[in-house]
Amino acid sequence: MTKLTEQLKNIKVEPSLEWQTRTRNFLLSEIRKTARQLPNQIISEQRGRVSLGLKISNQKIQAAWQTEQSGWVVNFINSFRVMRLAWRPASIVALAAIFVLGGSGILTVAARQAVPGEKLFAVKRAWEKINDYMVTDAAHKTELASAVLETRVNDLQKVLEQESRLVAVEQNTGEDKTVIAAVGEVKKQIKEVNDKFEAMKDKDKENGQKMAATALALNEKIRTYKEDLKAAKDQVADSETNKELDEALNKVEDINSEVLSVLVDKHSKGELAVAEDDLAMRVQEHLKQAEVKIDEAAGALQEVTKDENEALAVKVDEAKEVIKKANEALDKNEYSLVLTLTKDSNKILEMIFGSIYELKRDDGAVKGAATEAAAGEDAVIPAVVETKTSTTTDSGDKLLPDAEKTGTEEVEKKEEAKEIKEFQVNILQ
Amino acid sequence: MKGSKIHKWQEKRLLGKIQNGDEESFGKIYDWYVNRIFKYVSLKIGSIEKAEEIVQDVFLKFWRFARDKENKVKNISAFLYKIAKSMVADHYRTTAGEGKIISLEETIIVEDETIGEEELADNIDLNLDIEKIKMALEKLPRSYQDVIIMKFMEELTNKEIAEILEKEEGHIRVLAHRALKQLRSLLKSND
Repeated sequence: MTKLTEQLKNIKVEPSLEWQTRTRNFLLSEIRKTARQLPNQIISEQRGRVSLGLKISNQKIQAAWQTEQSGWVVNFINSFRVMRLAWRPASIVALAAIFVLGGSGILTVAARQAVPGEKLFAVKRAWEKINDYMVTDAAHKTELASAVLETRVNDLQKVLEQESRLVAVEQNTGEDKTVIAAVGEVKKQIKEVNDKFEAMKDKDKENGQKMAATALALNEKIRTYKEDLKAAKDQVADSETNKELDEALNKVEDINSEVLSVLVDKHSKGELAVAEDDLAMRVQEHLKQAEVKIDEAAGALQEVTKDENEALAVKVDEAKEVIKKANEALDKNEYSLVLTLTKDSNKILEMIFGSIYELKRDDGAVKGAATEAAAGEDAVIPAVVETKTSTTTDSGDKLLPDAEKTGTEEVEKKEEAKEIKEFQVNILQ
Repeated sequence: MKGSKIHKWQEKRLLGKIQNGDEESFGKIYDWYVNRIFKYVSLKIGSIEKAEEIVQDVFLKFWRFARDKENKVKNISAFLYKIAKSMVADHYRTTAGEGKIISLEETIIVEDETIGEEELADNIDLNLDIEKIKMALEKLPRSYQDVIIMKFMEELTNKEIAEILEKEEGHIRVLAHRALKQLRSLLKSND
């Protein structure tokens, strides 16, 4: 016997896919037409954002808007928008540097468009480092690192677009080192954001409101980064790169967890101007991510053999149990507990996914497995089933042996020195 | 993403981006809502062709309104349905007499309604086919149609429907109850 309400629910009335696409394209083209006609509002807004003191006349911009080739003007102004955090305190010094170095302006503009894998990318990185160097405020440094991460994610999107275009004209096999480099840069910058945020937590202890405002802004940004990285993941077929992106997403979620901890703490002290519902929604969103990951882990278990599956399934159940408790804590508005439990669940899931990856790699189902195995198998394989659940919040880096950690730092320092050197060479050319 | 629930914060962010002229954000909203709005409009007016035309205008109107920084859209879903409802009403006005819709006025007495919707909807096995339901739906008063489509087909909450129809939540509960009751009786009489 079927309920009438069930039957009503099942009535399918959908427009054709062809109509949906056609209408979407038509609407977007109409929107573009109107966008070209809107001058004053955006111009005044964008002009307000140009804090370098550059005098760009309204008439000039307006004239540019009215031409078909106005795109570069908008991009130019938008580039300031993204970089405004970087420029704000350093504006005078940066301007002076530009004038002193004279002639390097064109190089700088070109470098701004560079993506990982290109020579000018080193110049872009060096500029970013100089900006960071000139900023002293810890909260501002965090915002700046976040703005750079936004640029890195955009770089990755550009690289993927280029890659797909090349694949479309059969100029590329799909195995592009540039994509791997771009993902590597994203990961590097995520670490940078984490470091800056941690440093801010130490330095700005006295200024709770400032820390809360920065954490809130970062939480908003993290949502965008996650969406963009997930979209990037959808475009990547290579399993190694996919794994890298997964790691990047996990790391972003880890930072988010720390950011939310700050928000919860500041909210309890009345230093965060956000309604409790809003805070609960943010925490719930984080919890939801963990639930999605559990479902993914359960799905991924189907790809391994029965024996291995059974052992890992126990771990999945363990994670589910932890998340159940987290949901109960959320119902009681115990946000700190929710965050701790979610962290625990993520730790378990990290182990599960690591094991699945290793098992698939051993079966030869993962591309590039041999290379990674040769690079140091012992350090990579996690002791999945044997390891007990921990409530600590160690980052991935902390799990690395000290010798390896020092090695990584040295390599990073060398790379950084190389980038600055390349930048100096480029700037003098 | 199509058809899934959109979070409040996502709405807020997309609306913010739209105010800055971001067409991709508009595209996302279109993807999310196009099927639902189409379903509502086409069931209300019974013509696919006309529904396509109206839905296109609904989204264009939405863009024009949301794009203006002076305006504030609080709830995208409610706002889209409101535009759609008003455009369907315009359509009725211009095609007066053409449609099969019977307009009945209903008097709402909240206190009288005590039976739950579930109770009413339970255990009905009318072996109905979709066409029969659609035909019966066309014979319902417009406000009943609205509530049946939104509540039982699109699964909106009473609160959301109340916002769209600009009525009290309690009023929606009563409307839903009466609408379902009348639909059942129409279906039985046609059987």
